[in-house]
Amino acid sequence: MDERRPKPDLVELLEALEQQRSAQGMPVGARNRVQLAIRNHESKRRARWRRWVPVASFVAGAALVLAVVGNRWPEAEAESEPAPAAAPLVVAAAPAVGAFVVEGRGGCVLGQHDGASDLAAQCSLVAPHMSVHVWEPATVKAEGRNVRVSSGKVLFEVDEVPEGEAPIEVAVSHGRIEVVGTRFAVEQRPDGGHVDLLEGKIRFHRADGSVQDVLPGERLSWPEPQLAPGPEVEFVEPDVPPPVRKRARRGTQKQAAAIIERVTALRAEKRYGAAITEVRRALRRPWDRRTAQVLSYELGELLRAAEDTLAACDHFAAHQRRYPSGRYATAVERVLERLDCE
Amino acid sequence: MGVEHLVTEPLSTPDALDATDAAATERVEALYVQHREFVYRLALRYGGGCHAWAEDVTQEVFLRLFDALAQLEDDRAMEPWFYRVTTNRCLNRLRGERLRNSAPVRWLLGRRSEDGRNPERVTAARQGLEQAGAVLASLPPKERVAFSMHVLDGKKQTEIAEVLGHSKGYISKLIARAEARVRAAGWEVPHG
Repeated sequence: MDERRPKPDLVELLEALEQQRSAQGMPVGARNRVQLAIRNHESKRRARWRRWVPVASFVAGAALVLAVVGNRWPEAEAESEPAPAAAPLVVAAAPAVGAFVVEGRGGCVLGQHDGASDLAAQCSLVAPHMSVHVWEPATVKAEGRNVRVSSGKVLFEVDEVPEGEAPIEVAVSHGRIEVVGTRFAVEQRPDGGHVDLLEGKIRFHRADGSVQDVLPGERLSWPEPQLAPGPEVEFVEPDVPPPVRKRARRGTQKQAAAIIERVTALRAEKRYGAAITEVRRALRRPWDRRTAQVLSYELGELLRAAEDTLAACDHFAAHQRRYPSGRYATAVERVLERLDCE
Repeated sequence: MGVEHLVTEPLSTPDALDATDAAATERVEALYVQHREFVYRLALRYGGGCHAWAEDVTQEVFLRLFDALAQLEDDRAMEPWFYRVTTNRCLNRLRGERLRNSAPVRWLLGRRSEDGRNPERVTAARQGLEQAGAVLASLPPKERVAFSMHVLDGKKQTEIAEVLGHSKGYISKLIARAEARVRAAGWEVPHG
């Protein structure tokens, strides 16, 4: 460092940094996520406790029976009369649908048929791995750790599935939704329905075998508009097994950081084309939502730096649609204004 | 049914919960609205500007609040509690990360070094102010926290000692070491 230059005052800069961060505040998405965690905290804690209620009740009942039988045993021996049968035990447990505990005002379960339960609005099904909030009366069936929605409108909140575990699935009329850990709303009508993804990522497996990824802010409906029926083709069992789809692995934060560093170097050399190609290639891979957002914003900035205003406008508009309350929401809005995008 | 509408719709009504639980949740939510920015800002400072890190700490602090509610009577004077819990939570996380990233643990677990890089930090480090943040982030966890409390929050050494549960002498050493490191890195720290 040049000795004649005054050394920068760290405290002054740190105070300015603190002020800048205070002005930015907590991002809306983060605010909502934490608030949701607070709301779910108590119900999850109770759900965990309630899992043990039937076991505890059974153990208590068994202990009671043993105590009664044990007390009466000498009498029975003395009188040589058979001991009276113990009164049937009544085990009080919280209402449940499969592995889920029903929460809400009394009368949540309106009826049950074929293993499915008709649930009233404002009720919830809670399990340690997932919560299902009923917004409009719904018919729901618990299938192990998965759920089938036959009708109604429900919100799902699914905890992140640990690596190596099978994903959670939600079955609907025209396929199934594969969930890795996310928040989404499903509406199922007699003729079809849709899923709105709020956070995370889901994959829709149609009944015909096709698969479609859904991104946050997107809605996927079923059934799709019907195409004209083609000629009838006799189904022939293929001789070779179908190719196994190789799922691209999600990029790590370290990889993303390395990409941004390379892009920064390219940008410093004003090699915008190469930088844009690098980020576009990176964006083809799956990332966690936050990293995808950073990369997407970076791409927009590069397009702007390359003075490709039209492409930058298109990209930032798409970014805004995809991440309406993302961490760059204000910055993107400003850029769109500055670029005079339509 | 639009996505925005879905986000803002209430997820569960308080009267669907037991009265006590509903009251606790309501109280925590009220305190969350009041103190979330304060907690988040502190966490962001110690997390080197990483929003995901700060969000995790904020969530942990407010979930911890459920367990502490019974001991906390005056909701109007909660800032010291949040300051203490957030600072200690951050310090624990930083120490945990440092331990996980230490050479013996990495060797035992067969992991490569995590140098704490993430895309957000890399993009942010381009800005001048963030360079100052990076200097702070380069300090060892205890020094970072004690130094920040001293120079940014204006806390006295006795107050810092009370919050972190150490002696005043140890805090004094931590601050002196941190200042020496900062100066060695070519920055000025006002005396006092």
